[in-house]
Amino acid sequence: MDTHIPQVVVTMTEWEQRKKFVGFTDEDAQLLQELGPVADMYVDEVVEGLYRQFLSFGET
Amino acid sequence: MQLTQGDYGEAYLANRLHIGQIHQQIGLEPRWYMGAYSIYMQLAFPRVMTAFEHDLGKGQRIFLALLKIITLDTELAITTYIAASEEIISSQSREILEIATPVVQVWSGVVAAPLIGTLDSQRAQQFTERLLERIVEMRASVALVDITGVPMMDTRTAQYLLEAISAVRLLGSQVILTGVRPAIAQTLVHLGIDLSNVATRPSLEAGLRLGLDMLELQVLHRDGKR
Repeated sequence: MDTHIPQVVVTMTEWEQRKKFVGFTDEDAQLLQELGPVADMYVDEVVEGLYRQFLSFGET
Repeated sequence: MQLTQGDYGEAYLANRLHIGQIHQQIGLEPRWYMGAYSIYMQLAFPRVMTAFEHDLGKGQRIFLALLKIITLDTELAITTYIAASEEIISSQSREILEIATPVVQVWSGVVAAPLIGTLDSQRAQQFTERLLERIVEMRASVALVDITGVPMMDTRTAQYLLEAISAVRLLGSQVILTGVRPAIAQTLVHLGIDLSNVATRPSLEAGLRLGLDMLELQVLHRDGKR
């Protein structure tokens, strides 16, 4: 099915507002970047966990 | 594009919207990716805490940052999903509107427009537009508007009909209102709608005869009798 989806569902202005609303700051971006190397270590385990969970539910 | 890549500007937004669009196309419902994020958090939490056990305060701030970005991601996913669903709904209603307002040529110079269902302002506008378009296209001088399939008549519906009829007249064509059932006739009188300037007939057949008559045509039986 070919469904046309409006290109700009969320504008940059709204995106910035949303970040502000949940209190997502530059510091958070910085912290997440610091998490990067740690996340790289657990990412395989997380992906595996997700697959396990999905596969244990027949519907997917 | 990773959650932890550090830049959450325009490219990140575009990427997330694109992912949401793909999810919608493959039919992955919000509950699945929200569930996936929940599992992600459950699996990531102990790992983050262990990695920052020398600075638990920082570990906590990092985890909260993760929570915020995941919430924002989820919002984007749901927004895209809703936008796509709304688009489907509106394209379907456009389609239904078009199906619901057919205008067909029944004779050279005569078009018939059967109205089925209730006439709200959007449908009335669509109906009038299509009727006018087809009249011009078919060079029709008579338009039969059949209201057999209109379940009930109220002041507003009658008003829409009168407006459509006036618009047709401006094009120099005539409208014959057909399928006027006794109950509808009574309602129209009761509502004080003045249809004295409009040709009306109880059935489409009677309307077609009148229309042909206006065009100085008549249908004859093979033996020459009408």
